Amino acid sequence: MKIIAVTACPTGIAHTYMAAATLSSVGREMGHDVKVETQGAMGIENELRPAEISAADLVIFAADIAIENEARFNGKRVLHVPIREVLKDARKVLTRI
Amino acid sequence: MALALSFRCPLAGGLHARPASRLLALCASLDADIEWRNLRTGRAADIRSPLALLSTDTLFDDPCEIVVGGADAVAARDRISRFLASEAVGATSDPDPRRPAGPQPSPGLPPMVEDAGLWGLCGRPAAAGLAYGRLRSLPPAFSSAEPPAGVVPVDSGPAGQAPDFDRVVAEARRRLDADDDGATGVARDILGVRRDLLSDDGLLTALRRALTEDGGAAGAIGHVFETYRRDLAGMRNELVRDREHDLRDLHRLLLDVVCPRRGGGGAGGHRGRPVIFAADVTPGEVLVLARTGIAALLLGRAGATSHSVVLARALGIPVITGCDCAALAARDGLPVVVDADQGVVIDATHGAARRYRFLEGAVRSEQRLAAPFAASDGPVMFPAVAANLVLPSLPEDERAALAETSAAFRNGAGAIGLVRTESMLLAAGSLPDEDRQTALYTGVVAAAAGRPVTFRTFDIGGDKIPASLPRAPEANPVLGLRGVAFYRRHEQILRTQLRALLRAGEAGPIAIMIPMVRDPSDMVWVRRVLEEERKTLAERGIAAPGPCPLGMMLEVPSAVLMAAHFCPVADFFSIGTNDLAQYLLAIDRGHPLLAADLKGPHPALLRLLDQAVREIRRQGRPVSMCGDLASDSAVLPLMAGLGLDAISVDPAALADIRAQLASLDRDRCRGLLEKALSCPDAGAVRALLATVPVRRRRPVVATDCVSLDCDWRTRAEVIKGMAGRLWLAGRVGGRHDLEALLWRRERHYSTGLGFGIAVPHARSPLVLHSTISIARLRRPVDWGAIDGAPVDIVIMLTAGMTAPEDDHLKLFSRLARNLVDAGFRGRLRACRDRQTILELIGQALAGPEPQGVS
Repeated sequence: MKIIAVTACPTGIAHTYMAAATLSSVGREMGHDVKVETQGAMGIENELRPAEISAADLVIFAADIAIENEARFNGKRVLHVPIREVLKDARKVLTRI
Repeated sequence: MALALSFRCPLAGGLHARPASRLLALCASLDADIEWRNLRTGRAADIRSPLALLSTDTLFDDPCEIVVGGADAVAARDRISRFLASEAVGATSDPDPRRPAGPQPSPGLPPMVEDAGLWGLCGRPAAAGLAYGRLRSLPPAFSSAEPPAGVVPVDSGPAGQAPDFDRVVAEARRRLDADDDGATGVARDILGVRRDLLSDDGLLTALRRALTEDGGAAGAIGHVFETYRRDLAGMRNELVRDREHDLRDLHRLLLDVVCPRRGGGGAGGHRGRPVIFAADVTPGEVLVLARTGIAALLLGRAGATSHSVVLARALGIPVITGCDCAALAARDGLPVVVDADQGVVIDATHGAARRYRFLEGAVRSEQRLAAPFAASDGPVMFPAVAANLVLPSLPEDERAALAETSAAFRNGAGAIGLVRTESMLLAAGSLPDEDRQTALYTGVVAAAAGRPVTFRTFDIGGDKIPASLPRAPEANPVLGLRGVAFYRRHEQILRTQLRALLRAGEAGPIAIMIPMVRDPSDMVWVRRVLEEERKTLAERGIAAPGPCPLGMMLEVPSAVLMAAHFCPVADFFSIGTNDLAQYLLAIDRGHPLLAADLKGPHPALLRLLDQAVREIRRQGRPVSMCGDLASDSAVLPLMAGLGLDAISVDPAALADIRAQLASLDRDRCRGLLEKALSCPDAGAVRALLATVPVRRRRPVVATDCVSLDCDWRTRAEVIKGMAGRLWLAGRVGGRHDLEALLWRRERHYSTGLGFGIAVPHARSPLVLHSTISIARLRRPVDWGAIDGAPVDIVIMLTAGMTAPEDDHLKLFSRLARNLVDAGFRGRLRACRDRQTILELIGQALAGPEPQGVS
């Protein structure tokens, strides 16, 4: 599966990146193709391109705050999860899909 | 013939008790009749009656008039106008002793107290300190000026005899003097106000009438004071309204004299040192409480500038104001912890409160041992920091000056960079003789215990003129006979002082500095006089001490511009920014509207200083700064950029200035100065100061960021402890505010990420140097982690907000990514000492992203 995700947390210096690292590595272990955009204190990094968005089978918002440029994902299937769920058990989050 | 002087009141706090006292002292020796009229309130007063002066309710900028008549009218008018100029807003360089010490109040109870669910109460911090004791209300006999029950009033005695008025007043004065004995500095000033009030003609007349004519002395005294107090209560000037306390003190004192109390009026019955609470206290009560020994003072109404609070602060008593006294009264007798830095009172019956006191005490004592700047891991401090000192205006205040000298060294001063000597000359009216001066100077040199002391010879002339000296009137005294020009016409004053200084030099190393030098020939002349006086001493059989460095103030623009020419004749230089800026920018430093502009800093001043400092250093002479700019932390990076050898600052600013200097980067400060030199005006320089980074770069993780074997027992204790350590390392500005921020994040949801690891974090301008702190706990604590497991490894990420600190965010994100990797966590847990932890973190920050997770 092609999975894309956006992570964001209020302070943007720890959980955004911990969630991104977790989603990528667990996703890959489960055989998915994963790309994660981070929206932290350094701004948007590893930004998802329009082609990647349109090709994705699933979008995950692992966020505790509003996502920037959310309109990019209009019409996509989006799974909203709190960051702590990802950190607690990413495998469980990814098997829900 | 009557003379009038019209002006707008230039006194920052209006005409309150202290300026009123000074006016009284100033005019005491004159015969003139002097009246102060406030045109706004329409009230007028004799200038020798402090109470009447207060009742003119004069605020800053009120239109006023002084009308002078009688023999000394001209002298009186001149004296008053000079006084007003010297006291004007911005003219005094004294630090404001009424400024509350310590941080601003933090909203709410400390997280550790809230977390433990303890009862606590918040007020406004007024005098810093940490204390413990049982809550006690002020005894009723204390809080009321009425005679306590059981006292037999004198007037009900045999034959209804009235007490002898003069005896009553004399006894009251004697008791006030006894109170004042041993008081120094601000405390002395404040207590002196009561003595002045008791000399007030209006008050004395009313009291005399009351005591001799009315039926009952106690009631009559009460009536007089009630009238005055009602009058003051209606004043708009807050500082004047505060004097109601001093009247209450006097009232009780007179009652005590007239109707002696049985059993005395001390804070009797207190066992241990209690925490006293009261709606309000008078300075006299503070004094009695301090003698009986109290742990802290909690007040309901008093403001941070009231005399009672200032006095308590001077006596080292922690004070919190704005307390809910009803809530305290409901808990009378409860043991409490008082953190007056934070303005909180905490129920101490719970173990968490005792832990709070223990942890707070630990941070404070560690800070005293090694102030934040000492923990820096960079090059030694530049420039060196010395303290400014003002010799007391009255010989009796000598002890205060000596205490201040010792305090300056305790706060980290390397030397006394400037001793102002002229105040004694201006107050005494006549020149203290050589022996008297020698004793005073020797006291300071001895207190400095071998560290160098630089004395500046009398800086007189301009607005500072000794009353005893005949002087031709000058239309523009600031541009008239000052410094050396003055000495050349009053040589004996200089000669006497130089002899006294040379003699004091036997007690330790001293340097002599000459003010207002205009030409190199001035220094040649002073040096010749110095050598002549050394010979005079030798002829008198007084061993002339070794060579004594003779330096000069750089404060006349032409001399600063010509600095190179002074290097052959001056051993050292010290920049006096106050006069230099006034002369350079054509702004009167006493002007109520313009003086603030002198704080600039104007690029012209910076250019002049930069050129002079380069020139002087090229010739190998030391150059320092002792003016107000050196004590102004806002412009400190610019002063550091000048490359001075030392700065000498107000003792009150010493600790802050040292801490800030320790965080500055020399090259960055120089870069900032270069930019400032090409700015068009002061506003542009200020804009640069706000944006250009000047702090030293410090590694994001270092040995002082790793704590092993920490004995913290709850999440709240860990966060408090780690914030405290970061502050001790000089990496964050406010530890309590940081603690609150970290908690705000924890309340969102726990940062315990499982596997016994927590990652508390915050991003704030409070953070001076972005830091990764690591703490390993002796006992795991509950962190509300996602897997419910207790935490024993805490990795705290604190990020700053300035542009250069942003670079560290990348490192933080890399570490965060590593922390979700099971392999990394395993290696971290296996580390046994600081060094291996640092190495592991270093690898994680430098290496590639981890691959495996959980």
